[in-house]
Amino acid sequence: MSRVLACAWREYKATAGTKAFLLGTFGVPVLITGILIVAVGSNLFEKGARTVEGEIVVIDATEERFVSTGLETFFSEEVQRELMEEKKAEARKELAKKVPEGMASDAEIEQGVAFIAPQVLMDVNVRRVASEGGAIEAEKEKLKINGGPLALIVVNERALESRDSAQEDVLAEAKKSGEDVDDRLRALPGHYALYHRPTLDHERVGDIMNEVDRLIVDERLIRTGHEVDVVREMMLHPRTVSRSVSEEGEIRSGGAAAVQELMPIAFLMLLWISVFTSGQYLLMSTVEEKSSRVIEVLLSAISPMQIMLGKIMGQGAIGLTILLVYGGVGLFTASTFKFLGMIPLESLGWLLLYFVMAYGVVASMMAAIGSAVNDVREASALMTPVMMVLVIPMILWMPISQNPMGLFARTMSFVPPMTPFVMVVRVGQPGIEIPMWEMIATGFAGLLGVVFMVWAAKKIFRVGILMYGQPPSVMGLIKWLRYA
Amino acid sequence: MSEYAINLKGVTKRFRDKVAVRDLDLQVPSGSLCGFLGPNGAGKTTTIRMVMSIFYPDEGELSVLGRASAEESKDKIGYLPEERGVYKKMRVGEFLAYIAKLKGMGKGGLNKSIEDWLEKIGLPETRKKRCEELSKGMQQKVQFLASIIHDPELIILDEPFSGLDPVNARLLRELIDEQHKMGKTIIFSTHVLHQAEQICQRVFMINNGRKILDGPLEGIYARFDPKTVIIEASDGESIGDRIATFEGVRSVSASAGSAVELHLNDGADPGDVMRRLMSELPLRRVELRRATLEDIFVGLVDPGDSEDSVRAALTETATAGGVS
Repeated sequence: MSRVLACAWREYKATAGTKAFLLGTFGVPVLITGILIVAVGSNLFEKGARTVEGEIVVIDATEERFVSTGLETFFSEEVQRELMEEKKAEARKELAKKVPEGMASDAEIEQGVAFIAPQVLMDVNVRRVASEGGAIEAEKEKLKINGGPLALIVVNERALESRDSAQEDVLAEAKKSGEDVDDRLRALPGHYALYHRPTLDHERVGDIMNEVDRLIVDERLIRTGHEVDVVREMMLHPRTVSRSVSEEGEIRSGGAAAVQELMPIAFLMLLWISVFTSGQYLLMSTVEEKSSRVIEVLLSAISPMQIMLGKIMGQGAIGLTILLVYGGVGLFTASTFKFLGMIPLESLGWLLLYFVMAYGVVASMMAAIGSAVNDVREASALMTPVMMVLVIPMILWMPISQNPMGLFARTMSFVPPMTPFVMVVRVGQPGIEIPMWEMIATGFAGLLGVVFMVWAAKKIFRVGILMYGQPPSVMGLIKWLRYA
Repeated sequence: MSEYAINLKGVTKRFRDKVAVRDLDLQVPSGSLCGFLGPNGAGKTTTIRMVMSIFYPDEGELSVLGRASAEESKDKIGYLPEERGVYKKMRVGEFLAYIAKLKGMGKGGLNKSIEDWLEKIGLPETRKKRCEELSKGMQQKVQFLASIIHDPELIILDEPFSGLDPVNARLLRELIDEQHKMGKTIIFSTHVLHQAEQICQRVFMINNGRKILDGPLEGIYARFDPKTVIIEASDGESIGDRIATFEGVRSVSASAGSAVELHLNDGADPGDVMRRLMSELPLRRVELRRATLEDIFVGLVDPGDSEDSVRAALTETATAGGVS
């Protein structure tokens, strides 16, 4: 065993000492982490309190100038502060829907709220301008001047009326032919126009538009004798409680949707990158040892099986290093952005087991292929089975992720080459509990697959490692199983 | 210590329908220095690989250092394969230490041993150099070192001189001799027969997977009587017509300069022929040429192979240094 370990250690050192590995495994994550630290340290990601100051010009041609009046009220400091609190409350509710209970602390939730609902105070002065000829163009010109108004709102006298669909259709056709019809649309019933400086962010533009919309709609309701609050309440959609019911219990449908979508693919990618990268290193090092003829020196000291195991173990340690470094960066990022609580940490242990399974299968294939060819170029012709094992899970992750307890996902969990990739997607789902018997049974199936692949690879390795000349086809490799 | 370091009985190895080694019996006495001879494709490397348990025989039995296979005694064997290489990016010292570890050597004294050996082969400054920085000859010396660094009882060298310049070839011969004097069994294969004549006590030859010669070198020379006489006519004399029909001479061929070689009939007495040549012809030189291993080999190969083709094959392999 000490010789296998010596072989593994050499393999690890030879790969880990290359510039490509150091740059790919440590350089990139260190760079990302560094950027994060700098960005977080300098509050680049903080969307905390800030104030937008300036002037909004309103050319209101309606009879009561209700838009101007309404905006003056809306931009008062008191209303702005109330609105900020409302937005925070909404964000809190939204987060509560997406993050399963107990998965995030109160402090983490508040951090999330601050991120989702930035506290931007609009300290804005509303200036009314009379709707006289040339006023609009003159005010538009001022938007271009540094220090000029933030926005110009032009409300025509028929803004309160219902929209004229027929005229709109005609103008829409004209617009399709490339004509600029925005100014003509501005004058139509049920329309108004908003012009703003390019520096005014889209969220603030949205806030202003929403308020003008609300003012016009409320005025319409009032004028037609409706009570605004009553109509608003009537317009609220009914709330639904939907839960999926199975023998394992009830789960809220669509709960933690964002986390559900993110975590399985993150786990799958982590597994995929570590397995594929270390598998590639194994292939290259096997080909190198064979083509440089150093393999026969090794064979004089240890058996082909010991060489293969040593190489698989050494490159496995490389894969594990990649997994830990990238996983660590992932956890650090989660911690930095306060969503560590959303990661099912209890699944990380399983991730390691699934790495061993996935790597065992892919590494065995790579070792077998590497032993059978004379250079890396020839290996590409034999890579189809490996690529199938690696690509199929990427195709299947979506249906499995959407229904991790479905028949398809459960069946695929028992197909050995797929087992680790499918299971990592399933256990990566927060809020999903896979029965222990299934975890053990699929684990057993996966390990059985690894044992079979190592056995087959050993036979091919033994025949191929001292065979030079024309490389075999995939079918040829299978035939070698009978020779050894 | 067993009587034979290597003992093969009726060993056969096939690769699909090609028989690489056929019913081979071979005994290498412990402590001997043996040459394993034969042209390319004769089966030398396959035999050595079977001895090293890299391949397994399809038929027959073998034992190495008294064990049923080399797997049980790999640590006591030093092996320099014909197809040898080094890890290009590895440093020389690390490479030697790695191979020594694989051969079961502990760390104690390993560094000192590596230093001493590198000094001995004239490469003391290469320890920290990457293998790829060494010349081919230097790499070959490092590879030889890798095969003996763990102080083995049995040393198997497959074509150890190929690619070496005369100075390094002499150094290697001295090292082999030194190891032999320490009581180690050494077996080396070569297709350059005169190298074997220079250093071996014992040789065995194979051709087409079959053994055709086995025994101590002196015994072989005694067994294969000299049958070639070299003569050179006195200045201005022409003897060509007379020697072609001289009694006891089978054939005549050109030798170096103006000399000619007379190949005698099997029953002819070389002494008698030489006496008659001196008395009957105007000669300034008459010399009995001792049979070389090449002559012996040519005389032993399958009748299907012409003498010229076998000599050409031996010459070609000796200059090309190909795979056997």
